Amino acid sequence: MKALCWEGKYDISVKNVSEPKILNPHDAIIKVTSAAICGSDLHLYDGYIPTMQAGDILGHETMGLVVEVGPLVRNVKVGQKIVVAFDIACGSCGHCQVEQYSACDNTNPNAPMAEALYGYAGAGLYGYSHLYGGYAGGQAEYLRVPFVDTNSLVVPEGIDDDKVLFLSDIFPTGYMAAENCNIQRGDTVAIWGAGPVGQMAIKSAFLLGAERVIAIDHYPGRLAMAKNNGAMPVNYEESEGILDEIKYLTGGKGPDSCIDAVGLEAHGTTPTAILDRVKAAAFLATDRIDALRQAIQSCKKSGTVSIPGVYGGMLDNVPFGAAFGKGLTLKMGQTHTQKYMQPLLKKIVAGEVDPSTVITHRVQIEQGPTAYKTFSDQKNECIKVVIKMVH
Amino acid sequence: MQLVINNDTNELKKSMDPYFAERKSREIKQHKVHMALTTVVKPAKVYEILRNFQNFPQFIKEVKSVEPIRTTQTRWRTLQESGVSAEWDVEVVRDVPEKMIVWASEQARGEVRLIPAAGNRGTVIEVLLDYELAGGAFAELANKIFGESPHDIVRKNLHKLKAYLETGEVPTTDGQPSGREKTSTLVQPN
Repeated sequence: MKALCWEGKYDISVKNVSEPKILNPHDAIIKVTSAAICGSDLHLYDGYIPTMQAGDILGHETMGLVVEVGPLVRNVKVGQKIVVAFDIACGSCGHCQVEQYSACDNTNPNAPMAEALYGYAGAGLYGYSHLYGGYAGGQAEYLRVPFVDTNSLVVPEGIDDDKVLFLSDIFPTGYMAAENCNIQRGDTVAIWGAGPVGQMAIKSAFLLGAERVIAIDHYPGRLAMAKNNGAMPVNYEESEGILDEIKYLTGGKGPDSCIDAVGLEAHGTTPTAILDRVKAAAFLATDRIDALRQAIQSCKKSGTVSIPGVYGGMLDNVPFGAAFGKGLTLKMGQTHTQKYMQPLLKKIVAGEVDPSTVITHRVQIEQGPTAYKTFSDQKNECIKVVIKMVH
Repeated sequence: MQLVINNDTNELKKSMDPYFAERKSREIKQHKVHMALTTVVKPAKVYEILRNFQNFPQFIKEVKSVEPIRTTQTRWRTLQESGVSAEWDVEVVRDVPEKMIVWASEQARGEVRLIPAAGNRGTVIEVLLDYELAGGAFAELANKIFGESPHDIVRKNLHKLKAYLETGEVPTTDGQPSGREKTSTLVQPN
């Protein structure tokens, strides 16, 4: 089968590799129909996530037709179309029992490696480094889905792939980010990053009762999309001072909650952002965090900073005093996707929300390497790439 | 509302025991390998799976077979991926159903304790392992077989045991496709 493989920094290949097999009794194999490239895949592309190996198959936003199931699969049937959650959960451990799927105890075969780095290991992820289990990803013609009954959503017939594909990651991720903000009716939410997750967070914040959403970015194309989704766009590059501007926009009290939908590769032109870039280039720090600093600094007293953006390592110059001094709540982590798939599908079917509006590019798998480059280099025009599999 | 008070009075006593932490830190000092892992599975089932040593090959793939010799003695055969094989006899020296298994071989002594987790939330599996008995020979042997320290081996296999207990399988990626396969070929982008 054809698969997109990570070969090194800025190096993606299309390779013919063997097709996945059932390896465990709760597995299923799907024939992929659509797979997306995630903003977090760019962290891999840019070489920011450790423990990738040349030849790793990428991709964690995938859906397709079930072609084979293991002997202990109970609910999912051959022939059904499923969306696959990006985090792999066992469905049985203490965390899964309370719907903390991304904290699953059992699915990371490299748990000792993650424990050494983070204390405890989270769930395995598709195509997202060996630290997260080293599972082959879904930017490929076929995908093995472990514990398929727990990790998939059966798509009702007659719904277009584009409408439901993002239930695999970015819609639940944006939604959980907004839910983590504990939004009260009438709240103002500020969101750093108007990429795919940021756009989903905008839609979700409104669904959860926010009155105003402020979107902060520097790509006019992304800000225009945010405006279309109802947010108030702020271009930090055109701003005299972003913190002052947000304060002014929120009547001097700050946003009720802030969402960092950027993560460890923040751009930015402040002195600290430039210092981050220098340090990261010299391996003195691992993560560039200017979006997070601004979110903490801007947030109102007793507010919440919600962090769906991915971080991997050590952070320098975090304004922890500001977080403490204002009594902020910080909430973060990988999304418990499985918890949100069914309820969010209902909202899509009911026409309350259409996640497909973020798609700007549709390509075939052979164009994958070019699509990664476009997504990385042309963030203004390229917001979301979907790979359509032609079998 | 359900209050988290366990009917098991021992459980209550244990959590209120002022010497609990002291005893644990003493154990850390006294034993080469000390490790604890909590599973949602109840002690009776954990004991049943563990005590039936023939189950081990199902969750530790390096263990190829466990043959009973006498009621308390078994012969273990292991085979590492690299092809190195080994064989040793293990004697169960103490066996308290649902609570404890203590075993010894020529090179090592180990103890597994099953303690009801606080709040009736499953089982804490504690493992203590000592292998200084034969002057580190067990460590050398373990390294030869698994290529890892006894500490790493216990940790890795406790995770596998937990996954097997809770899900009935051990998650793996062995055998999945990758671009590292010798047979993989590059597709020219169009």
